[in-house]
Amino acid sequence: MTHDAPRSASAGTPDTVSVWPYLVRIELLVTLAAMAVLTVWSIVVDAPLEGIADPNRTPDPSKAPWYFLGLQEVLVYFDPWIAGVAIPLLIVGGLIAIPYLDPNPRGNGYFTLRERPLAIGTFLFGFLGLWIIPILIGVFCRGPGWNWYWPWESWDIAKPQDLVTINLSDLFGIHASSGAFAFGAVVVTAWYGLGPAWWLWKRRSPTLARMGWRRFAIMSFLFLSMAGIPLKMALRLGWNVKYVWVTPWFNI
Amino acid sequence: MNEFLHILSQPDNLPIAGMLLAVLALLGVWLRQALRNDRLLRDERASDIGEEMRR
Repeated sequence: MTHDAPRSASAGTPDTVSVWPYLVRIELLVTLAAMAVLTVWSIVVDAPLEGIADPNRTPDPSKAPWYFLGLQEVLVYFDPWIAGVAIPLLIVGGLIAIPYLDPNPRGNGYFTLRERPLAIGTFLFGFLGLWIIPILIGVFCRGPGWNWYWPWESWDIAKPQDLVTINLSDLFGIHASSGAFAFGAVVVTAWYGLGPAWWLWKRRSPTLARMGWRRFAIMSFLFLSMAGIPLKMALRLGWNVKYVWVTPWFNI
Repeated sequence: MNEFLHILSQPDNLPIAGMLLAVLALLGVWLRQALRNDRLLRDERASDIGEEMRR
């Protein structure tokens, strides 16, 4: 429990305890229990190994291990450099930056919903919405051809693949490459411009004044990037949109 | 539904069922404790939170 947490009212009850033995002892017991479970499991359940690899008979769908299926699912919506490099880097960098971005001590050492609705909402959105749900989609909803199959649908029914994908600019009747480039630039700039717009609108609020523009800029960039992922997923699933911004160098 | 049950019963995927149960159970534990603490905060009894969480 940190110094910011509410103090115990009862006399004689310590507010802090030593790591040894109180925490380490529990961790040791949990480690032993986990090892016992894994040992029994590995003895009782056979590893699901398949036959010898045959290049003429590849499995369909070919799925990554379950813990990577969220990443494999994100690859449907983004180019590999975004899904495999940029997004993981943003996740790790964002997690590292949390103590810098959010110095609010409320909620340290005790559970609360009322005092930290935005922080908890953001965490749940990222954890459940951007991690757990893509894993579940990849595991349960992707069948042959990586097509979407609901859990109650049979994989024996072949689904035609959507071979024709479009860019967001096509939805608005802009087909020329220069027009599509400019349209995408406007859309992406406008999306990330929501942060500065919010700053200008609320700049007199005590929260933003305490936060400072640098901290706010980093936080709004991370927040908008995070919120953009499900938007892009919806565009792809709903309208077959492959790219929001097409450039000669990269595509988003 | 056959594919769903088949996927779920694969030894590879057993951790997913465990993860789902763990996520739901731990979110439930957090929410129950958070609501209790919020009630104490609303009643201006923040000093009782430490004792409440030790129960």
